[in-house]
Amino acid sequence: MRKLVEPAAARHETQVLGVELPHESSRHHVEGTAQYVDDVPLAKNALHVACGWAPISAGKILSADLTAVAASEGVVDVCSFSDVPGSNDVSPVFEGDVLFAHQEVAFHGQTVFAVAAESRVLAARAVKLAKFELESYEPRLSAADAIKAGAFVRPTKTFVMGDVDQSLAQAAHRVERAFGIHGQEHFYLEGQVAVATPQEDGGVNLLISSQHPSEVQQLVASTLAVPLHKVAVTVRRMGGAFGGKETQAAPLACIAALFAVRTQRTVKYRMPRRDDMVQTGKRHHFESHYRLGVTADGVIEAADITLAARCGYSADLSEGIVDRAMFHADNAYSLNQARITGYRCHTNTVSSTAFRGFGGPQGMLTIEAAMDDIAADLKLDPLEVRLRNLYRPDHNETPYGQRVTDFRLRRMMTTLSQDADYSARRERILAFNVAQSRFCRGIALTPVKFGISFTATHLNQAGALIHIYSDGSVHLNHGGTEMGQGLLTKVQQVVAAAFGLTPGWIAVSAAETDKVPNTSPTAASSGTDLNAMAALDAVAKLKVRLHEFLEQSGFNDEPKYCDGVVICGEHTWPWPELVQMAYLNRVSLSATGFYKTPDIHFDAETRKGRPFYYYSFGAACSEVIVDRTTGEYRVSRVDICHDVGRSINPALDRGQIEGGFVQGMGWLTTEELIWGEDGVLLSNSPSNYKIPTAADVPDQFSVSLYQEDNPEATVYHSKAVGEPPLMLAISVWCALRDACRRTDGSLPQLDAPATPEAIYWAINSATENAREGK
Amino acid sequence: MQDTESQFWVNGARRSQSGSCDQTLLEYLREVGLTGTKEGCASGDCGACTVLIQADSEGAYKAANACILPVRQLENQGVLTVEGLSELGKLHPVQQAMIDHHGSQCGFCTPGFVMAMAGWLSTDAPLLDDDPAQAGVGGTQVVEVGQESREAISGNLCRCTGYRSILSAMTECMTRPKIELRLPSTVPKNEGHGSKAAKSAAGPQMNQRFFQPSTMSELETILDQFPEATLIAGGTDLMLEVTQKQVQFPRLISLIDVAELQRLELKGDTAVIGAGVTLSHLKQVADNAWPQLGQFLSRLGSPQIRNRGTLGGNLGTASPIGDLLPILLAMDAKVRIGQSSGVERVVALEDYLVDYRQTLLRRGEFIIEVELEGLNDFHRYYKITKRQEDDISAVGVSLRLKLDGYKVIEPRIAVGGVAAKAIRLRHLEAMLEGALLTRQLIAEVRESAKISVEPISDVRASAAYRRDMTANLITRGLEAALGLEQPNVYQVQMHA
Repeated sequence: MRKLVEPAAARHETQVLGVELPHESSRHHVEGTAQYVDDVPLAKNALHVACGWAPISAGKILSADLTAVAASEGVVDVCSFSDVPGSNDVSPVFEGDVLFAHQEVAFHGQTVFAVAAESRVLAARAVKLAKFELESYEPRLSAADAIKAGAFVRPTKTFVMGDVDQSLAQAAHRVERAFGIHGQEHFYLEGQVAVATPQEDGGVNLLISSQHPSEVQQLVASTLAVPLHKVAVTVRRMGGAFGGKETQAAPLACIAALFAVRTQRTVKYRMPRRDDMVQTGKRHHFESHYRLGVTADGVIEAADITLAARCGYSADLSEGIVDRAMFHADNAYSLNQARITGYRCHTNTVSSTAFRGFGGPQGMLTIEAAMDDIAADLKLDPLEVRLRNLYRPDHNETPYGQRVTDFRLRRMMTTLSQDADYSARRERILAFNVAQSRFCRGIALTPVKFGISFTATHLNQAGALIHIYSDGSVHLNHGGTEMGQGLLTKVQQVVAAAFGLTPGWIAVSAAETDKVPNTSPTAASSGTDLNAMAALDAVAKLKVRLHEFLEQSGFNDEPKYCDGVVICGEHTWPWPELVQMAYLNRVSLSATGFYKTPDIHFDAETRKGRPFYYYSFGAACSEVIVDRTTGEYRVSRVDICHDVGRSINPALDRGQIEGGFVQGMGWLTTEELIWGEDGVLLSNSPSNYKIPTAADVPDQFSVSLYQEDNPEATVYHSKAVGEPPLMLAISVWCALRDACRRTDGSLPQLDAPATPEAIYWAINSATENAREGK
Repeated sequence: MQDTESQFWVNGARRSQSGSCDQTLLEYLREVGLTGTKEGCASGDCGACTVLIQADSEGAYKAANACILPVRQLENQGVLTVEGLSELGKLHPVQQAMIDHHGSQCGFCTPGFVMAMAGWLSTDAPLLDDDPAQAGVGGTQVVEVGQESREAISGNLCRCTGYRSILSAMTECMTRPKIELRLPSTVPKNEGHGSKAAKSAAGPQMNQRFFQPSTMSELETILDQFPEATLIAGGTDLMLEVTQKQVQFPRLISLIDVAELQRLELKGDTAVIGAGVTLSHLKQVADNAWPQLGQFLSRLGSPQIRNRGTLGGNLGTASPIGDLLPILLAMDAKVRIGQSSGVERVVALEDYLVDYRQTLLRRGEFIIEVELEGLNDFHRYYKITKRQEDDISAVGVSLRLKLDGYKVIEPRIAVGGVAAKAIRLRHLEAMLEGALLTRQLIAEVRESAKISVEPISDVRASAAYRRDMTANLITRGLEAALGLEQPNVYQVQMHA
């Protein structure tokens, strides 16, 4: 560089933290100019992939004749197990997630082979021409059958606190129930997609929609049997992910990369929606069972809780997911004595995977159903039972040994109950329901306590890279990926504030494995907590260098960065001017940053420790109205109070809360995954799997942020907000069950989701025995 | 093979296309680099591909799913995509409102929402006095949004926002005067689209793959030569064969321009509905003249689907869950069928529906229109779905009857979703015919209804639920006839 550009005027107001800045890409979103992987122009000779499915759920592949496939119009290459130069295993943690089925078929729709053709349509036509000779087994489809057969993808675990059996035996009152909690399809609007471009050194570059670029890099390298440095992965943005692109994107990358290397052409693999719904993992189906011993006042003395997850054919992330279900089976309540058992059941279904909440929602729904049962049995108000059981100063130990401190939830629930006029409305609802008209109503106020940190401790690390260019503009990069949650916006705000600049000075950029290596997935709500702190570490390093330079130049006061200037004692420089001075004096203006979450630990043997850095809290009060004659319902009013610590961007936080709530409501109401007896997924398209529309948004929907500093040293004392709000929707399910309450005050059996049909049977099954199994 | 060209306008620029007869508009747009229009499902369910179609230069902009719209059907029509919405960097007000209200998160569905909202705001949106969204204390935001604005975006799925912010953006725009849309100023003034003059006067060519006749006699000539050709109307069902199963149609005859199929007459007790009438046009007319049908149509598909889908299409596919079939059965529908020879025949709908997706329609035949009666009789149409909006019914029940005092005359009870085809429940009708409508009789009919159908269990509902719903909805309709009607759960919205 010979000549520097004129410094731009940088003096301005720099209030950027806590400000409701729009999403960094919002203008591109509304103009349609935000580029997603499928929008990137490709080389004219690019190839397109389609995969051939196993047509059965369990059995052996005796032979596969792909002659007609290879001969089909436009087909350039065909690959199966034997064509993988490296490893066919694409597991994230353990083993058993395979790229191509080999000999064994583990679930219906499993990929057996792949085709690269001149167009997507030609590829899709070709894969239909495969001829298989198969031997079919009876598929194992339920958690119960897996437990009976002792078939697990990972060993069973138990958390134990105290002597549960004795306390249960002595308890004044016991409640017990078993119920099913169905899974959920992610239905990110942008389906899975990857583009691989071969490089001259035998490596590949990948554009992909993935929450975990580093793992994609690792798995592509192991598929190709090349070192990691031959593979570069870029993620600019995703069209939604919700956990569905944490591990599920990698196989697409591996297959596209395999073809790219073999054909030396750019290869795109974009899954059609139906393939995506059948072939990629979903939220786990759980079978829950609880037995609680309570006092006459409804206070829990002992809890024996069993959570059996249908993990599908492989481990994928089920170890951690069932762990998290177990970690959240207490939700916000002291269980006193507890035994929590988690089964990881093997079934002949697609491997269940991460989905917003990561097992937490299923654990939490279990104990919330139990709260309502206690209240029904003892003829108490369900909210009163919840408040009595909340963690409290002398009862603050979780079944895994972590103490619950900073318990702001009781205040939040009390305030919400008043703001939402809970007690008076509940009285009116009880009176309304006595009339036994065609309609009945229900109400519930439920809390959320969600542990923040990856429970696999080593994942709680992050890296960042910051360049300051000679005009003072800043390039910001970190390992976190943008899936719509506003992560890049928040980190941009944090860095802008640290330099005393407006966000426009800070350019956000795609996550790239050749900029920041060895990153963790953007998951577990940790994106901002980890990446913003790593970015601040890089900022701190750059500031140290600038300060050393100033000291050497004779300015010894501590510099301050605000309003676009740097102030050092009586001297003030516009930011770009200082940067140019530093450049001319040969100061390095690029730095990496690193962060690891402090103070967390967990002993895998004793199953005690502090797995979570802190908890995020929330509470929601939902009211529903139900038609007894059909089971149709509406959510008529929802009031939410959600803990965000000190919010970096209240608008983005509110978006996470509202979006999480509605997504959770879909999970518990209209979204029903249905498999046939042969293990074939029947709910395989948006015409038969129904996520909420705008018409399902509560008629009255109030969301307030509970803003109070996080006492832990998180970035600007904010709190994570990605996953916890999903579980606010448990209030809807509880309110629906409340509406189905019988005249004697007892509650019906109800699985999740509470579809209109499920609600109809919950109301009518006691009086009519016409029900047949599905 | 060479084919004739179709000419149309995209964002004011003239385009022509002579590709395969079943290429979708979405594929075309993305191929020419207009990638703002997204593919979310390729089945018309998610709305990420929403564009606006203007049938003629004076006409209204109608939202459509580009993913299942054959580009060749756009002959002489205008398409507005998200790229054409903002002009010279100046955002359309709804785009700005979406930014201001934080209505996008991942952004993938956003162009589709923006287009659906811009279209609705330019035509049907009511003007609001002031913005009902209130910012309360402590950052609380309370939202109460009207049903019609929710319905306007019921064909657009968003998985991130929970819709509140999108509805707020829309509501803000509704407080402003109607926002007219216009194409970018690149359309030559006297060369606007919508002119049908360009159509070739020559007869059908042997190598021609796509036809869009504008008269019935043209249609008959083409059918005479190509009786094996596939007929396509709105394509909202048929095009899924292309996008989901990679079926290639060798030859398509598009019916959407045939003038004689556009008849729509509601006169007193009778109605004639042309096979080519779109469901949104039908809804618009029915909202005043036939409110029960208008209300029903608001839950049939989405605005995008209703803007393309036709009554003829619902009859042509004859799906057992075709939402309109029970209604048509209850109204004693007769189907007028045309054929290449010019001879017409009229058959009762009940005879027309032969079996699962099978009809009396023979090769070379087409549906002209449907004749209905009994609009002045008491009638009710119901459907049960998992989700309120844009969901195919698990059960549909339609009733119609006359009352002389309490005496029932000519009752009709038709159901869908409980058999291989939509059917009438004649023995229930017989129980009612000539009887006095009492609570006792309704209870008896209800019990008989339960054992009168043999539905199956599938992805939408169990057999037992379908049986109960058939009985309960018939009960609901008969009680309504007795004057005991209550609003449904979607209408009762007050909380305690």
